[in-house]
This record gives sequence, structure tokens and C-alpha cells, in this order.
Amino acid sequence: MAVSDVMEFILGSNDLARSARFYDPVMAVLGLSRLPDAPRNWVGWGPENGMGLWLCKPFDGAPASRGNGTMVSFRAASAAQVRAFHAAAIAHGGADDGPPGTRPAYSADFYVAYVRDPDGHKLACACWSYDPSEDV
Amino acid sequence: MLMYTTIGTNDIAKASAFWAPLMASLGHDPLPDLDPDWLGWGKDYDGGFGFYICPPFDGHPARAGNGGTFAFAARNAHHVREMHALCLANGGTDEGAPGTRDYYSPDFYVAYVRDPDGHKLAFVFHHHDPAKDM
Repeated sequence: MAVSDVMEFILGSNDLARSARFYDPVMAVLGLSRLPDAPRNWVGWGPENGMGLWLCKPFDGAPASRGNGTMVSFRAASAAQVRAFHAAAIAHGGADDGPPGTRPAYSADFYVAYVRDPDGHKLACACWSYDPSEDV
Repeated sequence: MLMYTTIGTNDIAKASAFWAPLMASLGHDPLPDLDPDWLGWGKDYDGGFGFYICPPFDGHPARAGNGGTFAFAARNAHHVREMHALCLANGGTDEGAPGTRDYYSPDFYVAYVRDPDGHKLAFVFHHHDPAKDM
């Protein structure tokens, strides 16, 4: 059976300009740029033919809110990229939600950092083949 | 780009009854070796993208975010209708019947549902041609 390989994640934003100021530099750390042809009141990032992350104003007109338990996790190529992601997020209006490092709850090769975007959405950036001896 | 995503649940059994048939219809395999209170489908970390459902780490109730939607690509309009019906049969609620929308282009065929925890999902076939939809 053909696997449904294209998915989109849409998070609510209360201020799209603020979201763009945050996500542009943070996504740039991962080499991702704005997706073209965004509808009005939408902004998105991702590879051209893959999964995209979009932010938009909620259709119901009520304020955007974060979901508890909802988290979007990005793949990093190295621990240095995880740290760059975390630093860029905090420098551009995000908040720390867990500093870069390994976690006792996960395996020792799982290097991760957590942040909140300006609307409170939880993001992770993880390098899952971490080797401390190669992290200089 | 994306490695995995998690969404919260307050009732893993209900979530499983809803999500397992849905992911099977989309062709995604369950992920092995998870904690008993986690569900997951898709690829492992080496292989691609994984979609996980779990109780929130902070111990507070799981809650859907307003504005949050998870969109899955369907194979055709019939598949959109099939998934919408499947979701309603397994504990989901209707949030928008299968069809096109004035707001989007005429080839964007979509249906919306809520999962048992209130998360909004979309099933989309974005090459819809009414002449070929039987």
C-alpha cells in the first residue's frame, strides 16, 4: 500500500509577524526556509516536497492556544546544531524549556534541547546518534 | 526536517481504538518497543518521521491547542471519505464533511475530524478532479 508521506503540521499563532521573526532564524539553523505560496495569514517552513510546519490564525477567530502534550521535534545532524537551534530560539523570542544535553529518561546517544515558541508551542531539536567523544 | 511529533492523550485505550485503524488506512506501521502508555506510528529515528501519542510529561491533562491541525495526505477523494467515516466509527467527531472548500482551490478535497482528545485532523487529497471521482 502506498504510504501517505506528506503531512502538514499547523500550529495556531496570535501574531504571525512575531512567529516569522522567531521561526525564520530558528529554521535557518536547520537549513529550512519559508514555503512558497502561503495563503493569506499563513506562514510555513520546510523542504519543498516534504512535510511542512505552518502557523496560522485559528479559523474560529478565538485566540490560538498551545496543546498540552503536543510537541514538534526537528532532526539535527549534530549536538552543535542542537545547541545552535536552542540559542537561536532564545535569541529570537522563544523561551528555554530544557537545555541542550542528554536525558536520563532516554538513551545516552539522544542529545536534545527543548524550547517554547512565542505562542508557547513546545519544540524539540534532537540529534539521536550522539557521541560525546566526537562533540568538541 | 521533522523527526517526530507527539500529541497528548488522556485515555490511551480510546486513543488506540481511534488511531490504529486510521494509521493502518494511511499505510503507517506501528512503532515497536514503546512504553505501554505510548502509541506511535511511522519510522524510527533513522528511517524518517514518527507520530507519537502519549500522556503529557507535566502530569496535567492533555489538551488540544487552538489553531493546531495535523493534516494527512489521502490517495484520492474516496480515501478522504473512507478515513472520515472510519474516524467517526472509532470515537472521533465530525469537524467538517468531505468535500472542497470555497476558501481553498477547487482541487483541494478535504475532511476534518476531532480525535477522542479533541485534536483536529485533516485528510487531504490535493489533486481532486470531480470528473474522476466516482
